Formats: sequence, C-alpha cells, structure tokens
Amino acid sequence: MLHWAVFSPAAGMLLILLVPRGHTRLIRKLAFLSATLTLALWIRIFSDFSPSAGVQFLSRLPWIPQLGIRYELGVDGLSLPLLMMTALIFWCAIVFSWREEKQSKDYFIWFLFLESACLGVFAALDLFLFYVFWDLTLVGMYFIIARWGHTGARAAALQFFIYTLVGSLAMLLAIIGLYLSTHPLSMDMLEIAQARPLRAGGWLAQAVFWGFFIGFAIKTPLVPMHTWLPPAHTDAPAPGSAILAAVLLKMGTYGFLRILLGILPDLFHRYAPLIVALGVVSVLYGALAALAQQDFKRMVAYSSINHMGYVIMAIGVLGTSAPDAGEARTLAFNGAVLQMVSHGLVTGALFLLTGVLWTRAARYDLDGFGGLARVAPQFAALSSLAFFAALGLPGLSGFVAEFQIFVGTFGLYPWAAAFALLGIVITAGVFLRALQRLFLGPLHDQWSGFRDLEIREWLALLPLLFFVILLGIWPGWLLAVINAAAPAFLGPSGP
Amino acid sequence: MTVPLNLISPLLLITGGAVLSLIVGIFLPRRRQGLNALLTLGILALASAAALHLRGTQALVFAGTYAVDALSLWTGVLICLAGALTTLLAWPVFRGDAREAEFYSLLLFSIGGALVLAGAMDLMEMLLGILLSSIPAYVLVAYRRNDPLALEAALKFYLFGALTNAGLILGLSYLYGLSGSTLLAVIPAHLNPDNAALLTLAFVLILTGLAFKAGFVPGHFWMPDVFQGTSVPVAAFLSIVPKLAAFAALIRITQALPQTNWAPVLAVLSAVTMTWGNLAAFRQQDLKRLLAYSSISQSGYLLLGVIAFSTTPLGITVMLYYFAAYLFANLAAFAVLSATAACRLEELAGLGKRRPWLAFSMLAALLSLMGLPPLAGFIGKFLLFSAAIGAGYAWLAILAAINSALSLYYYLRVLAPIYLRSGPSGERASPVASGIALTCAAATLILGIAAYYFTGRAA
Repeated sequence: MLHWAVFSPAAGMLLILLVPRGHTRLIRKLAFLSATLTLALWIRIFSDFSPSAGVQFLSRLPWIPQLGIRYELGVDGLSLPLLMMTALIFWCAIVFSWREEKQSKDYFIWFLFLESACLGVFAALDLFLFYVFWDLTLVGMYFIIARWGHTGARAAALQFFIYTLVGSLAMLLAIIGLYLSTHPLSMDMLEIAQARPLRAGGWLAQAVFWGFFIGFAIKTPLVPMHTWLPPAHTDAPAPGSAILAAVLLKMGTYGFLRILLGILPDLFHRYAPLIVALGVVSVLYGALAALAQQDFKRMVAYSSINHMGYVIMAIGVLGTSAPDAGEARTLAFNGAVLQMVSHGLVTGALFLLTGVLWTRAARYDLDGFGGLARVAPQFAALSSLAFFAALGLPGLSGFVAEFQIFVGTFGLYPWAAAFALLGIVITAGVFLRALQRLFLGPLHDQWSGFRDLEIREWLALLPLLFFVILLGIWPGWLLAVINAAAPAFLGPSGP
Repeated sequence: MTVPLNLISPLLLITGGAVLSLIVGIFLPRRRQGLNALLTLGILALASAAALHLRGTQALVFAGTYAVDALSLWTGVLICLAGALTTLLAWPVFRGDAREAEFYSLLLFSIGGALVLAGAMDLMEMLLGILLSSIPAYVLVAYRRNDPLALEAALKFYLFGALTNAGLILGLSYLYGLSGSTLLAVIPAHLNPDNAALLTLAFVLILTGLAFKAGFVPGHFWMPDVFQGTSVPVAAFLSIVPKLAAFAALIRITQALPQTNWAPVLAVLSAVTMTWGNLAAFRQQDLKRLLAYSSISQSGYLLLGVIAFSTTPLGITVMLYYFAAYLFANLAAFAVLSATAACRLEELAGLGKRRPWLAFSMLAALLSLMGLPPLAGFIGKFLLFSAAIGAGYAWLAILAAINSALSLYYYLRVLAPIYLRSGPSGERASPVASGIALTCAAATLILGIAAYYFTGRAA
C-alpha cells in the first residue's frame, strides 16, 4: 500500500514518458489522474491508520544487505499529516498548472517525479533511503525552477541547488558518522533511535549532530542560512514556489524532529536553548524582512521564514528537560507539527495566488496594483482568507497551531514567547498592508480588464482553504493523530 | 617450473589478439579494414569471459610477479568492457580511414599493458605494464597525424610520460635498493624501519609515474591538453583504462609498504587533486577539457579508497564499485560528445528538445559523476566516504563532500544549455554512439538501484 502511495506519481511519470510530445491534453489528464490516485491512496491510508499503534504500514525490503541498508517505509503520527499535506498540495499544484503550455510533457514529468521524491522523504525510515529521496527532491526542484521560472530563474535555481546540496552533503557525512557508530551496521531510523549509539557524546556525536543540524537548518531555512530562499521562491513558477514552500521546507523541520530529536536527543537537549533562540531570530527577521518588501512574492517568501521560525522555536522547546515540562512539551510538539501542516496549506495557497497575479499582470510589485477587489472580487475574497490565515486569525488553522506553540513556549521560555509575539504583530501588519495595497484604494486603469478567478484556479485553491478553515474550527481529528506520536519523541528523551 | 596458462588466459588472449589483429590488418583489403573492429570486440569478449571464468581465484603466477585475484580480474573485466565500448565508439569515427586496422591493434596492445599493470606484483612487471600501455597510447593520440592539435597533444603526452616514467624508474630502483627485491610479496619483510625517509622518497617517485597513468596531481597536466587534441574515443579510452590499471597498481604498492610512509602523502595528494580538478573545471568552455578536469577530480576521490583500502573489510568492493560507476558515467558522457560531435558547451544547447534520450544520458552521467542518488556515483561516493571516515580520515571526507558540492557547478554548466536553452536543430547523431550513451546511462542507474547485487558480487 505504502509503496503504491509513494510511487504512484512516479508510475504516472513513466506513463507520460511514453506519450509523444504535443499530446498536451492526454498528458495533463494522466498527470491529474496520477495525482488524484495518490491523494486517494493517502486518504485511504489515513482512514486505516490507528493513532495509538505507533509506526504503521511498515514495509522492509533488503537493498544493500552487506551494509545494513534497507528499503524501508512506514508512517507514524509525525509523518502522516505531512504526507497528506504533500499529496494535497501536489494535487492542487497540478490542477493549477492545467494551462501550462510550455513543454508541458517535461513539466508534468518533473512535477510527478518531485512528488514521489517528497513523499519518499517523509515515508522513508532508513537513513540511506531518506537521503536518496532528499537529494532527488533537489534535482526535481532545480529543473522546475530553472526551466519554468521567471527571468533570473537560472541563477536562482543554481544557487538553490548548490546551497542546499552543501547542506545535504553535510547531512550525508553525518549519516555516515552515525552509521559507522552502530553495531551491527544499521541505517534503520527506528533501530538507531532505540539503540542511541552516540549516547555517550564525544567528538563524533558532536560532528554528527552539527552535520545534521546544518543540513536541516539550510532546508528549513533558519536565519542566517536562509539566503537561498528569497530568490528561489521569487523566480520559481507559482506552483513550484508552492511546493518549495509548502513541502520542501517541511523536510528541514521534519528532520529536526525525526532525526535530531528522535535519534540524538542528548545533544538536542544540550543545544535546545540555542535552537529556540535561532527560531526567535528567524521569526523576527522573517517578519521584518517581509515588511520591507515591495514585491508581493518576495514578501510571501520572507513570511515563510517567519512561520518556519515558530516551528523551530517549538521544536527547541521540546528539548527542555524540566520535570514539570511534560504538558508544555506535548503542546509544543502538537503545535509544531500542526503549524507545519498549516503553513503548508496557507503558503501553498498564497503562492498559487501570486501565480494568479502573474498570469494576468506578469509582475509582483505591490505598488503597481490597487483596487483589484472591484474587478476581481473572488480573487480578493480568497486572497483575504489566505492572508488572514497567514497572520493567524482565530478560526483559521494558523491560529490553532501558533496558539499551541505559544502556550507551550511561554511556560519554559517566556522571553522567547515574548519576542516571537512581536513577530505576530509585525506579520499582521505585513499582510494587512499587502491586502490594502493590492485590493483596496483606487483602481489603476490598466487593470480594468483584470480577469477574476478561473475554474481551475478555484479548484486548486478551494481544497487548501477548506482545510485551513476546517483545521481552524475543528483541529481535533488531526491533532489526535499527531498527539499519538508525541510520546515516541518526548518519552525517552525526558530526564 | 610450470606456469598454469589458464590463470593468465585473459592476458594471453589480449596480447595474442593484438598480434593477430595486427597481422589481419596487414592482409585485409583497405575497404574491409573495419572487420578488425569486429575481431577486437571478439577478443575483448573472450578475454572478459576468461576473466569471469577465473573469478574466485587467488594465485601468484610467474614466480610471484603477477597476481590473479579479485582486483586484477575484475579490473581486467572493466578494462575489457571499456575497451569494447571504445572500439564501438571508434568504429564510426575512423571508418574508411587508411590505417583503420592499426587503431584496433594499438588499442589491444594498450589494454594488454593495462592488464599487466593491474596484476603486477613485481616492480619490473609494473614498469613493463606502464610502458606497454603507454606507448601504444601515444600513437593512438596522434592517430590523426595530419591534425596539428593531435600531434601537439601526442608530443605533450609523450614528453610528460617520459618525464614521469623516469621518476618512476628512479623510485623503483630506490625501492629495490632498500629491500633487495623487486617482488612486492618479498619487499615488506626486507624493509629497514630506519630508512623511513628514503622509503617515502622512493614511494613519492614511484607515485609520479602512477599519477601520470591515473591522472592525479602531480601527474595530471597532460589530461586536458591531450583530451582536447585527440579524438573523442581515444579521450574516453584514456580517461578510463590507464586510470583503473594504475589505481590497481597503486593499491598493490601501498599494501606492500608500511602505512606511515604513504598514507599522509596520499591524503594530501587526494585533497589537492580533487580540489584542483574541480576548481580548474569551473571555467572550461571545451567539453573534453571539462571532462578531463572532472576525471582528475574523480582520481582524487579514488585516492580516498586507496588510503582506506586495508582498514575497511569492503576495501576492494569499494574500489571496484567506484571503478564501474566511473566507467559507465564517463563513457556515457563521452559517447554523448561522440554522438553529437559537440566540442564546446554551447554546442549542446537545446539537446534536451532535439534528442531527449541523449540529453537524459548526459544528465544521468554527470549527476552520477557528481554523486547524486540513486545513481551509481552516489553509492560509490557513499562507500568511499564511509571508508575514509572509518579509516580516521574524516577531514578528507568532509573535503570530498565540499568538492562534490563544488563540482555540481560545472556539471550544471554542461546540463544548463542542454535543457534551458534552445539551439539549432539538425545535427546528425551517430546511432552507435547514441546507443552506447543510453546503455551506459542506464547502467549507472541500474548499478545504483541494484547495488545489492553488485556489491555482493565483487568481493
């Protein structure tokens, strides 16, 4: 089941490879069908998942047995919400790309390739396999940015690829270091998390920790390792930016939880205050930088740094070992994972909305617009909803997640919560100002013919915003799944 | 003393075949000379079949001068494979040439020398192997003797080879003087630890000769010029066959000497080689020069495997796997150059649209050389890095990782025009070369995904 759910996009990709160029309609139908099938499979897995049973749907096959490397997939309460979100975002991105005419065959091939790679990252339970999928996402994303991006996309894509590759090579060395410390040699994340071979510390443990840390911090991205992000997001095509922000960034925070917290809890505890501090810095830096942007898409990109900062802050809180911290840590864990999902949905929608703007105006500067609400009320309405979700309005998913993060943080790191709260205030200003500049005020003459949303855009945006509202008013169904995974990450790492 | 001839059957087949193809070439009418390519393929197939048949053997023959073991046999198979693919690449290029038949017999002689080198357990045998593989190679480079660039390349190649071989001979004689024997199996017992400095000097001198064959610092200078000047098949041949053989010889020499004498030297050379190769590749506009520098940097990674060879139980697997990964990726890249007849980066522009499968071959080849999963190059690098860290050379592994990231830049410089730019259409692509490119690219993929099968096989 899990194989199919991970590789059905790849199967669709192979089918499309067989279709001759030019059969655009057939190609996009195939892409749509395989994305739909993938989503359906993940919904099925979600409905069969029982929150209390830990890691499920395990499937193990030997790969390089001499080295203890396996092909091993499985899902738990941490990965399943992210996998669901990934499948949904890709479905929306493919629907949104329905009208992509430029080399549409290659376009959908790379998107489906990327989808399988992303699903693989979250579903892999073998470090080697995890790394394989991790690097494949870089290749897929590179080609999507470089080939279908805006002017300057090639430089941005190159920077993205090399920068994040440095991170993943640091991670590779860390994986090797960790792997060489296991007896017998093993790459199994669950086995290693049980055995904790580097418990005793020492220079190797430090090196492994920092190798992983650099890899994940670049991906998340954590200030000051974020500089690849704004150009990559700005110059990618809108669906590509949506995937990049919604899915690829989550791989960084997922790694923090799955590997740094799950496998190296001792060092994680030691450096927890640093992680909280870096999270707060990202929150504030992202918010302030977003405030300074004149370019709508860049603004959204910087707001991602801000939102991922909350996740990192919450993750840092998990490393606290105060005896009475149990409840606060559980809250922070739930908040962190929920915020990862929520940010995926919200920022996915935001980037698709920038795509709406681009297809009509081919520009992003906030000053160039105004009064669009008059000509495109549906666009304005959906955008406002996404903006309010991004600034954390109660009743929408961002609020639930951030609320839990703040409650969890406040008891243990009041100073961090206080600073980060400032970030919320600034973000509110950022999005309200953007709302005002895009949709209110006088309408420029040149936009009098601005078309409102098309059906495909509605179809792509609606599921995202539906879940934003659903998680805002009834997060319980997803929190039950997330919460069940918390003991596995918080239990053994306690004092 | 009787020599069990079956143990050296691959070697006999190749050298005998070389002579045979020379004679056949004399008697073949001019327009039938291409038949010699067929003969060469047959000889190479027989020789690799013989080597495969011998697998599992562990023996020293010819009074201890030649080793028949996993290293020499599998390196031999890979060398024959590279030779066969070179033959296929060369066939459409040199078809109808006046001296077409000679090309293949020179190729076989050079391969024979490489096989000798890969199994040499004796200093003189090693020298013999190097000379036997080098001298036909000089001629191969200048095979188009009317082309001034090729002549220049051959002259540089020859002079540089003569210089480094002089160093090698000096080093071998020092080693002989220090130990009183030319047999690698005997030398370790006769070394006096007091002569450590002299021993290191002898090793460094020997290294210059091997560095020339394998293409690492300081013996790498010929590669870019020679690759640029000669034909694509010869460049492909030179980037693989001498390198594999020389690394096998380097492993044998290092295993015979105390680690303290060579490990630091090789570590420094490895660091310098990979960094130099990568940095120098950055600004190349000529595809063959770029691949030459990439090949130099690959030697730097391979040196990691030599350093860690004895400390990891998988040492030989690591080396052979990386050999195979390098062979297929490099040959795929050269086959794309051969198929498109492209010399400069911009000539590949728009290949992704015109010939998607050739473009895909280049993509797989270069990403494998870079070390991206799930291609063979990644598993190879993973094995090398693990071996290096396991041997206590974490700093070198870190440097190698940084270098891998750097190398992405120039590999993408090749891939970017292929996929991101449009170019003129209508070049003719040789079907044979295209087929080789695609086959080798598929091999890098299969070798990566089915690594289980291959890593289990080698040791």
